[in-house]
Amino acid sequence: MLPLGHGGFGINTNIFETNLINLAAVIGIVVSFVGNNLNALLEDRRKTILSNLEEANQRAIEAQEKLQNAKTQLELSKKKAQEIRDEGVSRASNEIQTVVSQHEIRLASLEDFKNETVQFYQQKAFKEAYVYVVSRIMSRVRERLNNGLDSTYHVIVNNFYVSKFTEFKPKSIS
Amino acid sequence: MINPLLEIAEVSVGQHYYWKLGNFELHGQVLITTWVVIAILLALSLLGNSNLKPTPDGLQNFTEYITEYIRDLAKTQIGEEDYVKWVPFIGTLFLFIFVSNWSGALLPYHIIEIPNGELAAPTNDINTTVALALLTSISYFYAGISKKGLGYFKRYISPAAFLLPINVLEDFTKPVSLSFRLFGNILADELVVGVLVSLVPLIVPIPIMLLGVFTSAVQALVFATLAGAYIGEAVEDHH
Repeated sequence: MLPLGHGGFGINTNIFETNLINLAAVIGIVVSFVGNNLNALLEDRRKTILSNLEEANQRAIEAQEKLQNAKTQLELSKKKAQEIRDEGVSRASNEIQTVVSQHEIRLASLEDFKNETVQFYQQKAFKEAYVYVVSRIMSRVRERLNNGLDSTYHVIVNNFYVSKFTEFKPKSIS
Repeated sequence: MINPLLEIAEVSVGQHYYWKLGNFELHGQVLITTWVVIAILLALSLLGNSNLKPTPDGLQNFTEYITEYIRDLAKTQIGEEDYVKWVPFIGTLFLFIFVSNWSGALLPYHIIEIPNGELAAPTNDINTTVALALLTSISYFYAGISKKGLGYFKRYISPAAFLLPINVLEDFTKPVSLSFRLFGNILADELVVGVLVSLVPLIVPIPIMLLGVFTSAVQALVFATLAGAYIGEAVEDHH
């Protein structure tokens, strides 16, 4: 049996046995190489996360602003819609009134026209009646004159008019 | 006569610092270094995550980045539906193996002498890696059965029934390959560095040590990715 082992705990001070020099070199290389890359990677990651958070914040603020804008726009539009509605109502009632008054005017003028026509036809009827009556009288007179006029009556009538003329004459001279 | 080289080269393969626990003998040096790894991880998470702020900086940024990386890894391997509850498991695998590999490669453990054996990465012991691999096996079985019930076992005869022996064999080779891949990588790197140091103490071992740092990180990623892939395979729908 080869007497390997020390039989107890201890510290090995033989620098060649413990491989310390090489180990120091290896650790140096590994730490510098891996450390640099790792630091770059981690820094990138941190920056990406920070910028993402910042962007998200920014978007939240913008969204908030847009919401505010949209709300105020909604209010304005509501007001306008209300105004338009009121205006429409008033205009409609105006229209109605105008139409009603026009109707009344037309009714009045129609009434007048009716009255005039009625009067006209009344007068026409009266006129016709007059004409008829006068023509009947005239025809009766003509008849009487033509038929009842014999020589005696004719002389009487002539004497009547002569006497009338005689009475008349002196009055006008004086 | 004792070979003087053996006094300088303290690469004690197979030499363990045994602790007795009842009838069992434990590899004490592995437990010690495992506790160191756990302490490092606890310190990192407590320091980084105790004062959480919405804008990350410093250590919180680092821990958040690691969390995102592991989440991404789990999502890629397991799929969008079930990945969230497997993130802790895969994260633990990845971080434990990563920190233990790097602690073994970078921490000056050789300064501390222990009665028998030496301190090194806990993953250079087959027991650690087999434990991790068995945990992975159990976890993908659990994932499949909890999602599909007994219908999980249909995958042994899909797409064709004559593939049954191969599928069963796969269940044994998966943990074996996981454990041995990790164990072999870490132990081999430690052995090579140890032998080189014993031959040429300065400068020449440095490239190998750097390579070891790189491959041990890759091995941590590979283990976690494969664990995720096995879990993803177990929970995926048939297509």
